[in-house]
Amino acid sequence: MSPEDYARMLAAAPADGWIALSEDESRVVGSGPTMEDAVSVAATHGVAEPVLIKSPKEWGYRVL
Amino acid sequence: MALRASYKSYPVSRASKAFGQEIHWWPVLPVRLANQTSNLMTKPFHAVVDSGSSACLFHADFLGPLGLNHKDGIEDSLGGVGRQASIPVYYHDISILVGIDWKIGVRAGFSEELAVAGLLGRLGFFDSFRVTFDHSVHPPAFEIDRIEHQAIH
Repeated sequence: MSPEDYARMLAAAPADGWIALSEDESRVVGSGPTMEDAVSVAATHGVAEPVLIKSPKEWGYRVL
Repeated sequence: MALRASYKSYPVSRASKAFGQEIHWWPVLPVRLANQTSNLMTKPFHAVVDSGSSACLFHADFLGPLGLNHKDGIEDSLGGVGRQASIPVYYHDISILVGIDWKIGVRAGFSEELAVAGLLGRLGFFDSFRVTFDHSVHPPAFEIDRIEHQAIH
């Protein structure tokens, strides 16, 4: 997956919540307002060990 | 053996007026957290390697899978670089699992107000790993290597 496609995949997922990716991070397998929600949705897609990302309200430049 | 990883390409919702890029490169590392007194651990997640953060900080959603109670930790607050109010943080002693070889014990802060899943900061993470950021390549990359602490006599 190209970096551009990876970024587009994240941009298409719901904001201000949690995103669950497949183990190889090639597809979104779940999302939700809480981490537990995203993990539960991933499990329904057969992914027991998703890679989690916290999605911000708006993707952009930031100082943490 | 050192672990080298490329930065991840995160999206930019609105192209920056200053930089105009539609991708923002982030130095993130997939890690897990583990309870130090049980076998409970989290799913893997992206944590930002952040030398600007004093301590390791994680979103409070991780406390449940670790079997920890938010307010059983050491209560403190933490400010950012701006003038915004500081956020409440509760510190717990946990382990961070990095790759398949490394497990470090840290006192990490947890907050519901954190905008990212986790920050790997100076106290705990940079104490344990030699970290090198490399922007001479594309995409940018970083390398971490475990510091073997020796007793000082």
